[in-house]
Amino acid sequence: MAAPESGDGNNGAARMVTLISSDNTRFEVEAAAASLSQTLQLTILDGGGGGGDGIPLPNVDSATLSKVLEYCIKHAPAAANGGAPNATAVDRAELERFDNEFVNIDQSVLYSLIMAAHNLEIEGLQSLVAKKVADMIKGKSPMEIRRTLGFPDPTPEEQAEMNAHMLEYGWAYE
Amino acid sequence: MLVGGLDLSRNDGDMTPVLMQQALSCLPVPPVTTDAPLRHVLAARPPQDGLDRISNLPVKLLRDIVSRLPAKDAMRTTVLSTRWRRICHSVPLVLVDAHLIPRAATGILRLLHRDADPRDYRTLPLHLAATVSVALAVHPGPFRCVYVTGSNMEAQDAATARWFQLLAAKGIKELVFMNRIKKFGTDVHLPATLFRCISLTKLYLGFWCFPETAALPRSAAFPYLREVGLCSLIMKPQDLAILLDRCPVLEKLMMIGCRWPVCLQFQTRSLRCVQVCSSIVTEITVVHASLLERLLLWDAWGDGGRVHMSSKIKIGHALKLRFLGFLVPGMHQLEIGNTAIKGPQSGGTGKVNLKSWEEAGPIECIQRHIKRLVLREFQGKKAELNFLKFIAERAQVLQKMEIVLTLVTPLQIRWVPS
Repeated sequence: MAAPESGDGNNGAARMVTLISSDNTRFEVEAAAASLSQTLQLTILDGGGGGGDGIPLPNVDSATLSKVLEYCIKHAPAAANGGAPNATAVDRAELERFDNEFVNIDQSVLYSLIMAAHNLEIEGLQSLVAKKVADMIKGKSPMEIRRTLGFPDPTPEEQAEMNAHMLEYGWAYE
Repeated sequence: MLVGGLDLSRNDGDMTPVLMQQALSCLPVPPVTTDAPLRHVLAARPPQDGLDRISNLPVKLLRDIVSRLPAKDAMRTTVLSTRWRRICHSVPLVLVDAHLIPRAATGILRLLHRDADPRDYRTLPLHLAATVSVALAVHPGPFRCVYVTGSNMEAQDAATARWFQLLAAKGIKELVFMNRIKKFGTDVHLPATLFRCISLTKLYLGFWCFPETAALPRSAAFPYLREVGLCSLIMKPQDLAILLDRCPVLEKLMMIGCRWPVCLQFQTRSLRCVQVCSSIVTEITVVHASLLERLLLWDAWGDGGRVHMSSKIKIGHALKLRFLGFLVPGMHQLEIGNTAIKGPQSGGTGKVNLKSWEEAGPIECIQRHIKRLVLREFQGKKAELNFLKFIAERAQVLQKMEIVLTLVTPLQIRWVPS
């Protein structure tokens, strides 16, 4: 009964694992959802994280971990189906809507999420947050990008450099 | 019945726009867009605590972010800081000429949240080729993809030659290069430098004269090329044979509007899909293609004039072949292994009646094996009804017959055997 299952859930109740954030909060989550993380997958396959053990994640705080798990729980069923092939257009649209709302967050949260996605190696989340930052930059002038990302006000030299850049590479500004 | 579409006997001059539209609609989608669906109100605001964290992300992550930007957005990040500049200069970029069209010219498309697409332009944007030249030259790092589909390259030999030198030097992986000519007969030669772009994985070329391959050194090859699209090229059959021979991992070959009668012979361990559209096809012989799954013909006309059009399709060893078609009765002569597959005799009229099916004699495959039949593009013609009747009366193990009507909402008819 304690034999590790691959998360198919063929016996009714799905296998659960416990994750422990850097500030010592415990999160109990389905093994299939946590396994979206390449980093956790091996430990979980080896039977880790069950019972009273829990897997410590010293790089991820509880606020970020709960956000990350929200993503994993939503995406786990589609990932279990091998992604796109079996998913209907409705399912895909729903996931897209979720992703869209999911990254509508302040940059401090976004930053923690990027680092967590990277540390935990969650492929889908990594590309979602990178896409988000790219979308924040697209179509903006350097000055607008500076403002968006929270750069300090430009020094006169930096201002002059931006102006010169704009003159020299006019094609990139049209 | 011939599938409707192109009539290759028409004057060449009139064909170009049709073939051009067809070729443009078959191109792969560029991997980055100027569209930014994840740009939200919150993101447009500076961080609440005023700290710039994004710029301090690890290099690997910033590179990932920059690689998702169109080339001109990436170019703008170079002036943010030394760190951003170093990253941008080393990241493989995606250059799509449609992204370089000035914003003023794309107002409506932007309102519709659509990327500017050269297909939408009846008159090509002026000076686009010049902008592409500048963009290709200024980025010191590699280019992952270059999509050029909006420029007429006639009388631009120098630019074309320079582009290929840059593309070869910058390790181009995916190249889509359509020459937007207005009329056949005014074609321009691709430089042989094409063969120096050895890191190519995907290559789509359109409306060019393909370079001579006779003088190529034996070592010239595309060792990573997996996908090739040849759209209305002027190309000698032997040059095509050499090209295919020099692509050891080629998986997908698409040919549209070939300007020579196509006679192909495959002996390949890598090809999975071959598609020939809007061309005259005299013969396709699949000698040995262990991975070939799809052989698709659309508007593939036989040779021999309007009355005796004939086209030979011979399948030798292709165990994985799942899709084969469209074949036109009376025109395509199909041979699988050593067996010639005979359709009902059409008596020269192109019409197939019930009698001609009956004359074909008992067909074991239909009587004993067919379990599911799908008929698409059903038009309700008598010949089609005859065919269905013939199948329904004889197929003893048929469980399901699906009929999808043409041009109307798909209708499924479930046939329950009595």
